[in-house]
Amino acid sequence: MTLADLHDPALRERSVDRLLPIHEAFAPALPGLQPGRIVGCSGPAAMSLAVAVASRAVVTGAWLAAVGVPMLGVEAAVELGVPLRRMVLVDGDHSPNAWVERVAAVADGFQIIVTCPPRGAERVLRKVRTRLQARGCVLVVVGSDDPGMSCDVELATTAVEWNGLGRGFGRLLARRCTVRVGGRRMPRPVELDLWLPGADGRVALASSVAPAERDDGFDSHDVWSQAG
Amino acid sequence: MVTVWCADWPVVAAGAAADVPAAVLVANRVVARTPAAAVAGVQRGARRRAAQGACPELQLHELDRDRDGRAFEPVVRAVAELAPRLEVGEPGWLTLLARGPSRYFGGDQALAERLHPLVVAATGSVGFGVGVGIADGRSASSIAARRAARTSSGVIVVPPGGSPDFVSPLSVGWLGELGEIDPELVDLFARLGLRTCGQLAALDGRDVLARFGVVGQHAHRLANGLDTRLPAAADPPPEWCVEHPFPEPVEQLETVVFVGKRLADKLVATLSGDGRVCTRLVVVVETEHGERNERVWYRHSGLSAAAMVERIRWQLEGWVAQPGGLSGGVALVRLVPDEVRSDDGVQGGFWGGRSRADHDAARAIVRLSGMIGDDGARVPEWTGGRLPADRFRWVPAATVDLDDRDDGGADRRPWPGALPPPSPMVVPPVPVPAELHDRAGQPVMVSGRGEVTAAPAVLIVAGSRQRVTGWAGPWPVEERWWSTGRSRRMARFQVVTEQGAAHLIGVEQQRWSVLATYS
Repeated sequence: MTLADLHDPALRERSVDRLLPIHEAFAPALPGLQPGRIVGCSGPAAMSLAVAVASRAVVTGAWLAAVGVPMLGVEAAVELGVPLRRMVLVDGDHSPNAWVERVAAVADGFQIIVTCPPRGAERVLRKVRTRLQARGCVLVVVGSDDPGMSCDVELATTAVEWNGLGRGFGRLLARRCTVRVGGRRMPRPVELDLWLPGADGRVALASSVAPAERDDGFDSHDVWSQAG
Repeated sequence: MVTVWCADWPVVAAGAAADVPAAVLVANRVVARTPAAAVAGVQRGARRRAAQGACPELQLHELDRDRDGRAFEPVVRAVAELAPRLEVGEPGWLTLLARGPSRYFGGDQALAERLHPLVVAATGSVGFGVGVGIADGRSASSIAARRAARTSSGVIVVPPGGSPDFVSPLSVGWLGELGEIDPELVDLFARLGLRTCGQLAALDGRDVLARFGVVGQHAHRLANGLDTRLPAAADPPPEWCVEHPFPEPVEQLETVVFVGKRLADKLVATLSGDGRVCTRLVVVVETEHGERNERVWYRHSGLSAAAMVERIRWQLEGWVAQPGGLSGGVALVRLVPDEVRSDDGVQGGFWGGRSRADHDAARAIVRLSGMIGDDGARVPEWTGGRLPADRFRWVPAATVDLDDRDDGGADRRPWPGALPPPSPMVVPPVPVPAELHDRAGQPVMVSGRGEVTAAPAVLIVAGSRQRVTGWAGPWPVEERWWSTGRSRRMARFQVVTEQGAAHLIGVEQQRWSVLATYS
């Protein structure tokens, strides 16, 4: 960055303070995606969560890069409302250093990255974080169960229930899941009850939000059965 | 106004000969082609593949606007010797006021006939269309010049007051040619039955304004042979002029352009703060020995900072390339906004409708392709199929026009035999081998009639056993039964296991595999 670049209004506009929009189902927990942050998704619905979190920003013009996730279901992403014209798949790598290099190169031009980090990526996370913060890019990590991964925001699916499928009949229709939103930047974790997706194919809030219990003996299944 | 128009300038600038088929591409689409290529059926706007299909020996060039600007400089100089007060719009397109020169040379026709051979000689190539048009307004003379480029004489002179009659019989398609009217609106006019400019002009201007807004009003004015806007009557205040005197004369072109960028940013910031935009800009460059180069640049939609910088670069490069151009370092750069109007929001983005994010992403993709190969960055393309892995394929981003992709909704039509939504979010490129057992621990089978031998109870994937809590199927797939090598016959099931994970599994020749996971 040179001094003259500071005069460039287009660059100024790309300030790190701007929030990327997020799907309104997540609104009770997150007002938006803070550029430069790392969002982790884990549990049995991790990939859907990651795409749902990113979808609204892509709709409003951001570019989405999927780094090292060749198994991403494109059709499902379309069903969650991701415009494919701004989605690019970038090959991942098994070595953490090569992964960092690629994420850094992608962060230069993309506003959202969905990635499955390779084993040992937590050692190089600090490097990634500096780059993300410099470029104002959001990293969505799928499968962040790794204890070494410290994400700014952590979305964990705790309870998942599928509707529509019986024993030998029916088909998968809708999924209701409890998502616990915590992480380093969330001092008070919040629990969301989401349709991911609902019977109409959309992501939606299923019921009101409960602040999550803080004690370690917390069992979301109990809350689920009482609420449901 | 007099307009000089060089048809297909980018391909002339690329150095192609008129009798060799060649084309210049932007984002995989033809923007300019030689007459030989046009004869072979290469259309402007055609995709690379279509163009090569029409003419296999077609030479392709990428668009380089700096090259276009540089190559146009001799033409500008040649015309400037006849009439110094000229304005350059784009490379290949310049305008000048007719009155002075035409009186001096003895009439419009004489002036045009004098200009035409001069311009043809200055382009340095033969066989390309060069047109000189003279008419009352800027737009009418531009249309005249474009039509003249297709005639053998290369000259069309519209008598004073004759612009409406000249424009009237022309097709409405000409309104889009000048780049001031959206082609979609022109297309709409044609579909509404307004096929000639005269038919559009015959409508009441107020009705057109009410129905199509300001853009419609502009189109109506053009169809009447008028300019979209009246020229500004008042000169902009002198304090808007920005300049930078160099304490030490500068020899490097890049340094001057860099300073020019800062000046342009400052000027655009001042103007846009007032909601204004500069349509005519005078760029003045002086050297330490007092030599002076001044050029007027015009753009009807207004000059953005990037467009100003581009023009400063063209002007400097042209001056440097000119024999005996400048003898010393540059001592002063000055930008004078010559015509300023209020920004009415019709101005398109400099990148042709691309946002900054699009531009950044395209650049990052080019970098990634260089870093990890063309296959490193891929984009999805719908192919369709019954199984999740068949429905999309990934194609290298480098081979695709990123500005012209759909969102995956347009092409997707219902595919008989595919499972209805929701679709699985994880589709492994290669199915993962699995086993499905019944309550007794025996493998579950599907008979030739599509019946299950027993209710599935346990799914085993990569050694981990998961209890099945719900299942449905079998849904048979029989594909390409006519082909011995590629035929496949399988049955699909959806299963939900106790952790709430749902999978789409399939059995083919009595072997189970996980086709996709609803993660």
